Amino acid sequence: MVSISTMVFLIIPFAHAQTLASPNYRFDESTLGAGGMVQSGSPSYTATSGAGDIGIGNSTSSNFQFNSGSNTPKDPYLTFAILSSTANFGDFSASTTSVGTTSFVVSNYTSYGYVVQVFGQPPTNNNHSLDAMTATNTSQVGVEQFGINLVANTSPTSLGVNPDNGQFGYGSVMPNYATPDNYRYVPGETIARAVKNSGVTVYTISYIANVAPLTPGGIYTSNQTLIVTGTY
Amino acid sequence: MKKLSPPPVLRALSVVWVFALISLQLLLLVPQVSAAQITNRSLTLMAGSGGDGGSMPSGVTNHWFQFTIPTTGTAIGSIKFEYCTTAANSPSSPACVTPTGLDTTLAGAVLGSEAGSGATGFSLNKTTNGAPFLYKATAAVPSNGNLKFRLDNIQNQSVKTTFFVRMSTYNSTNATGSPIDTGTVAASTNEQIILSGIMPESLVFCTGADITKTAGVPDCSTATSGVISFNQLFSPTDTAFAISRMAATTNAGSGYIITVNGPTLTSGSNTIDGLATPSASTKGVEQFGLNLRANTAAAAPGFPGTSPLNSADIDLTSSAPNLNGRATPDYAVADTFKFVTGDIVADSNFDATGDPNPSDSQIYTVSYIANVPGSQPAGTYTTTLTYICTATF
Repeated sequence: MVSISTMVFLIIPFAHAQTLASPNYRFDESTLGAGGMVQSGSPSYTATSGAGDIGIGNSTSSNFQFNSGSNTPKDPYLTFAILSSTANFGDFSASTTSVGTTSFVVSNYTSYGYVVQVFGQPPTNNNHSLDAMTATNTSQVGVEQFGINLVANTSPTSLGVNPDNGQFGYGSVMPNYATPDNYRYVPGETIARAVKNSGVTVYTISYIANVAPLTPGGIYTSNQTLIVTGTY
Repeated sequence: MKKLSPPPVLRALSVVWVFALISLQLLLLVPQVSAAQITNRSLTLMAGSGGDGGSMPSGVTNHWFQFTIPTTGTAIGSIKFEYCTTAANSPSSPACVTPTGLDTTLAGAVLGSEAGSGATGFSLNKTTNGAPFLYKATAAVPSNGNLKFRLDNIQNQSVKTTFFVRMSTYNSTNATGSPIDTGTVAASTNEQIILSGIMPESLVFCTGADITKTAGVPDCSTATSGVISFNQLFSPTDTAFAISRMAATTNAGSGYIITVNGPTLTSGSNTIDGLATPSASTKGVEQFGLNLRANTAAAAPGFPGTSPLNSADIDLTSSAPNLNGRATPDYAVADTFKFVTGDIVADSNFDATGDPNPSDSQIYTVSYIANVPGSQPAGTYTTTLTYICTATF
């Protein structure tokens, strides 16, 4: 009876959320491990850690990704935090390039990945905005420019760092913002993404601002908004 | 041979256990009714019409839901969007907790768009904060499973953290009953990145007997100082002339103006009358005047002269958008001169519309003429003219 009973259990059609997919199937979650997930947070940062894991890992191919360890919740999981939120260019000058950096972190779980978009005007004083670099280009002193990228640069100075994917991050910078020493700024564009489940990726945004001799005097400010959209 | 058999009580328990087990299996074999998983689901936080950034805490923004429902053959009467601090209920969080500060009931909250959606014709019910739902008068089967809805003017939660929206489709038109499909999305509000910098207000202005350019750019460091003397002694039969130069540039939003200030040519109590109106140079008539143009010999025999003492037009030639200097009309006609202290002789309003504009550096040449009648008292006639350049930022 016990044997029969076991077989019956194995053929029970558990009804549940769709779990496996490619174009036709997918896994919503693939897990191993028995540890507990511990999540802590502050208004600006959330950390997750596991306990009691023998091993935690992530293996991928182009079509499949497998997570092991305790940090594998089945629910949508998104962390997005601005790590440094201000960049002060100081005094602009037509003879030098002003630079600055900020940084943010993203992780996203049980998803098809995420995209990060940037919104906001270039630095603006009254009704004058610095010219946004709508085409990817290098920094040119004396020409009004405002641009960003998300990689390490050497020109006009040592500026920024490449994304830090740690052990399990799969974030990447979009091509228009991934060429060292080349900058661009088009509000609404996607600047970074992960095409699959991704652990923590720390991104650094590098900013350059060039002014012309006739750039109107005054205080220039910009409020930039980053939008992270995960697909689950 | 004695046949061994369990005691009656144990046999009875065994039978009960077997029946219980079979009953359990039968129960488990009954197909479970459960909502299917909504796939390809996302929530994009979009900037609101008021300009609030999409992810700004407390910002009034638009929430753009896109998802695919797996159950496409069933009529949908309503779709609920339940905003929660957790993705799902759990022992530690047994019910949905509405994110702090979230407001889905603002007067302006509307279904902003359902363009491209496989199901359309919905209206928004926003009665319950944190749980708005879309509904139709009559449930209908969607044309396809790709649904897209934008809820406009939703006030984001006030905290900087991740929140979740549990989406459910229903056959009912009031978001009640068993859901057909369900799925949860996560989104996050966060502080904005603040960029700032200061463009220093700039005005560069200089005067001198001569100013030249360096690498094609007027260079105030080349300005020469000293007394500017007329080319000859004053005479009723000839016109004396002199030139000086000045250069100006500013990034002021309303550009600059240059005024000339000072008395006319004076020797003790004797003066040479300044030209109160733009006038041609006339020998034998008491005249002191200036302009900012290239003059001809018709005005004075020494004009236009040779560099560096040549009468000349503005250099670099004005052209929008960055070279905006000009002589003002009373001082902008060749061979016509005027002198009234306090007059604006130049400004950066080349397009002659509205306020002056910022301008790159240009060199003005000021041409002076002096005519005297035969009765002009002898003496050394001098004046100190002060040019004042005022920028308006």
